Amino acid sequence: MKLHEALNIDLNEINREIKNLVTHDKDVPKKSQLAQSILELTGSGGKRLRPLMVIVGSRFGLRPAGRRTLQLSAAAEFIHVASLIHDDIIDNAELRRGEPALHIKTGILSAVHIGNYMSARIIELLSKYTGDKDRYVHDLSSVATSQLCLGEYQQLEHAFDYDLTLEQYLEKSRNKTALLMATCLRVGALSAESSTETAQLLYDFGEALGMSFQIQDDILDFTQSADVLGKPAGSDLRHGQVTLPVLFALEDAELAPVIRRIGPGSSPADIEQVLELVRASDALTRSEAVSQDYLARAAAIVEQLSSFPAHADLNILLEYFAGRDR
Amino acid sequence: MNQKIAQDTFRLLQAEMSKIAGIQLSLSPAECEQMLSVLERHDLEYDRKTHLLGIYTILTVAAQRHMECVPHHPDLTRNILDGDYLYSFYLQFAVKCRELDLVAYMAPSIKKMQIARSNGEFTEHNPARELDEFLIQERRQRSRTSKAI
Repeated sequence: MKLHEALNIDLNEINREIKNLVTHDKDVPKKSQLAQSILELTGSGGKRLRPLMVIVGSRFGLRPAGRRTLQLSAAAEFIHVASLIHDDIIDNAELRRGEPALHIKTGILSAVHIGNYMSARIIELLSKYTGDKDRYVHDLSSVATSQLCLGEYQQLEHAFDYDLTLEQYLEKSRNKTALLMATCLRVGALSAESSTETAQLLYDFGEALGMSFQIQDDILDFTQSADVLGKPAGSDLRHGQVTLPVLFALEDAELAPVIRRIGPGSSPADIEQVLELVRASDALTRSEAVSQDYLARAAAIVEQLSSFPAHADLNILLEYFAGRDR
Repeated sequence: MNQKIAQDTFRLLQAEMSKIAGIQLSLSPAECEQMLSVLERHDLEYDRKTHLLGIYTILTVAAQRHMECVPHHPDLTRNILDGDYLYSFYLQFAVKCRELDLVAYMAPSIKKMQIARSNGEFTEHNPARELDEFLIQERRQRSRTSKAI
């Protein structure tokens, strides 16, 4: 069963809302490169994790989810996709989900501004909510997006930095991935008028889930084939991202010097050798244990929310994150 | 006076921005003058002037950084990240300064600029003019409200 089915969420409704963000924008010609590019990117079969989290969050509110919740769920996907467009330029990635990345098709300057349009469109859409109590609607575009950028800055600063500490790695992952997921749950809850305490618990749950998600993503870079990943295996290593498996492998006195030799000019053979060594070490198992630890923290928060019927949905999210393909 | 506002604004922005981003905000004298002359035309409290000059500065620098995102630019990554960070910081800063009406007013024109630029049309975008128009509209609305009372 697919995640949205397990959560009993109408994905078509979310997809329509995402599509409408572009097609209902009177300032965007229907046949324009911008419209077509965004429709292709947002329609290319993502799991819609973040929109689903917004909807799940709303189930902890005092009121049923309404139009605003749906708009926030579409906004979450738009912000995520906009960040992917810019990430692909930064990573010099040629493929996105097996297709040429947007900047390959449009050129860099155009792609940067298409991503900007997506963010600006969300601000335009949500800025009709101007009341003081509505300020949270901007959290996705402001706080969560700036955290995402800070994660990218940290990643850039620590490229090929094999002296990165575990704390620095965790902070980068929190900024880059976890806090957007946390914010999705929180704004979803607030859009249905949950209490601030409940919204905060959901935020903490989302953060723990997001951390587990990022660590799993780091592991997948070692274990999955290029076909499944939609990009070459070992991309993180090639781009100098010192992920959790690498940090654990660096503790091995025999592996460390081989890993430390990897730099911007390393050959595919050098990269493949390190991939093999890390796979053969206990680094992936140890990383998996940390990921599971975050899931356990998330499960403990679900307990605190057990008076809400929707706590069952959090367990479904937990099961989904625990069972991602390895 | 103008120099003091500019200095106070830059100090405020640097204090609010994350050190991790490491962005040094600056405007050319001509860019600064555009906004300062707008502020002079309106009767505003000093703090609000610094907020509005701050918003103008953030938007101007964000757009500039993203216009420098061209292939093989030595600072391509940095320019993308700086622009992204500044656009999100703009919203954070505006929310904190309770300028949500301004955000709503500016949103369509900022969006249209992004559409044009994605399409290779690099016409100038002047946030100072937008801010001026917003302040004029705000003054009219206040005047109507006070007359009604």
